[in-house]
Order: sequence, then structure tokens, then C-alpha cells
Amino acid sequence: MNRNLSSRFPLSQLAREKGIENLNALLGFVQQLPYGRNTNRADLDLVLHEKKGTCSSKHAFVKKIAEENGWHDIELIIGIYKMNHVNTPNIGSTIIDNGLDFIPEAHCYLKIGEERLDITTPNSSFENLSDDVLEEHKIKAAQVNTFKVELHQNFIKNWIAENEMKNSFEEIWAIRERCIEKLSGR
Amino acid sequence: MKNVFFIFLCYAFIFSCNTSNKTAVETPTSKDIVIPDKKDSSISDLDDDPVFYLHRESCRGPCPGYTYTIFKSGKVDYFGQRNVDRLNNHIAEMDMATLTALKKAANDIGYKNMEDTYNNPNMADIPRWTVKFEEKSIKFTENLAPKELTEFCKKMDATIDALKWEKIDE
Repeated sequence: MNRNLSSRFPLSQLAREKGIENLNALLGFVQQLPYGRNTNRADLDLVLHEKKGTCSSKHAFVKKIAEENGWHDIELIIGIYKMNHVNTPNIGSTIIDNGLDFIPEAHCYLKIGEERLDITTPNSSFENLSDDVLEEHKIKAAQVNTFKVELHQNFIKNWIAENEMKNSFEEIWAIRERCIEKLSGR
Repeated sequence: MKNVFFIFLCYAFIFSCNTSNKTAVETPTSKDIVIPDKKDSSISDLDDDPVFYLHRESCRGPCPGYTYTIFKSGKVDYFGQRNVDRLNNHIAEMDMATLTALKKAANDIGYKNMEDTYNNPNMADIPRWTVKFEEKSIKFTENLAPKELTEFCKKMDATIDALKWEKIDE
């Protein structure tokens, strides 16, 4: 069911000024925006002004508008999943070259009713990750700024300790950074 | 009569054994057990509502640009954009007494009865502040806002500056 943006709160008003009148239009608009970090992660308006966003800012932007409009069935989820060369082919052999099967990675997406939706890019699909999700956490839009990074780093620290791994946190994080560089084509 | 009573007892015993066997057979098999959707049941709720939010726009000059959110749990998120000591993402914890004192200070200045804007959009390169307390958001420039509001925001700035900050690297 499509829903109209009726809230008079700032982000919904801003979206309507850009011609976004309902939920479907909002999801389509955000999904086609280019991938890229905004200059201030805490300012969700920038997804519209800078016409780009990451998984965090794009999904938090939709969640914020959902909060403004009282769409309580739209949830913002941080999922920790096993990132490997199968579900994320663009990282190449970075992880296996370091003697690992996977690295826990954090990803944001939406849960609308029972459906999980990843609108990070036009090609994104939650199905690519669904079998590799280790844990999921529901958060508010305002928490996306630093909370995701903090949660992710704590998860990796616990994972290293529980598996009595030889690698330090800094080493694992550096491998993860190389994967992200490959993903963003840097 | 004794024989009749003995036969009755035997039937009663056999019947009770059959009943217990029947109960065992009716124990649900693995096919009957409903396994809940792991992903749904395991979603943890880490919702934390923002209480205060402050965003200070930077300008072409040396004015500082930063954003922070103080959550109900006492967690504070900070993003330093320009001309500040703490650049990028930082986190800190605020104790409940300090958060309660900030809420009281906001109520004492009549925050929720103030206008939504004290702002002249035609004035170029005047850095704007956006402050939010619970659901009420106010956008202002220092020269147009009530003194109580600017003093409150500066007090909140000083309060968060005194926290112990940890940098969060992406």
C-alpha cells in the first residue's frame, strides 16, 4: 500500500518540495541517488541537498521521514553479516588472502512489515546477504551517525576474543578498510 | 468376587500403561515443532530517543561547524565539521543528573513556547544554529534569537565540551 507524505515536519516538507509525494516515490528517489558519503553524517537533509548517500544516510533518511509521518512499521536495521568474496565479489580475494573466511561487516537496511529492503544502490538486494546475517539491531534514524560504527567495532573485538584469533582488532579493521576501498573503487 | 476384582485391576494397570505409551507417541515430532524466523526473533531493539540535538553551520570564515545529539540513555554523538578541536565522529557518555539539569534549564527559559525560527534567510553567510529539544526545533542566528536561547545553547556546548570523548574512526 502506498502512503502519502502528510507530515509538516521539516524533512517531509523538504521531500515534498522536491516532488516526492508518497512512500514509493521516496524509496525510488533514494535508491537512484549515487552512492557517496555526505559532508555531515548527522545531517540527514544532506541526502537531498547533496543528492547522494551511503547505506546509513539513505536508509536513515527514509526512516526519519517514516518517523515524521507515523509509519511505525518501517524500521531501520543494522545487520552484521559475514562479508566474503561470494556475497561481495568486488572485494576480490582480499579476505581469503589474509587467511580468513569472512569479516563481520555492518550494513543498514529497512524492514517494512516483514520485508527487508536495501535501497543503497539500484542494484542492491537484501537477498544477497540474507543467508549471512549474524545479528540484527533496530535503531532510530538519529542513532545512525556513530552508533553503527561503534556497534560494528565492538562486534569485531568480541569476535576476535571469542575465536581466540591471532589477528589484532587493528589488523582486521585494516583488512576491512582495504575491502571498502575496493568496493568504492578508490 | 476376588477374581473379578483382580481382573479389573489388571485391566486398569494395562490401560494406564497404554495411556502413558499413547502420551509418549503424541509428543511432537521435529516436523511439528515450529521454528521461529531467526532473523525476526533475534532483532534486538536498540532504540534510543534523542533528547537534544544541536547543529551549528559553519561559514566561509573561521566559525565552527558541528553537530551533536544527546540521547535519552546519556549517549552523546558528535560530528565536528570545521574549525573545531574534535573533527569527525566522536562519542561520549553524559550522566543522568547532567541531562536532567539540561532539560530543566531548557524548560526554565520557556524553550517550548519560543518561536520556530529567529532567522533572516536573506542574510548571506550568517551561520545558523538549529537546536531541538524533544520534538520542538528552533532555527536561529545569534543576532536575532532571544538571549536566553543563545545562552542556553552555549551552556549546553560547554557541558558537552567537558565530557570525555572517544574518536570513532570509520
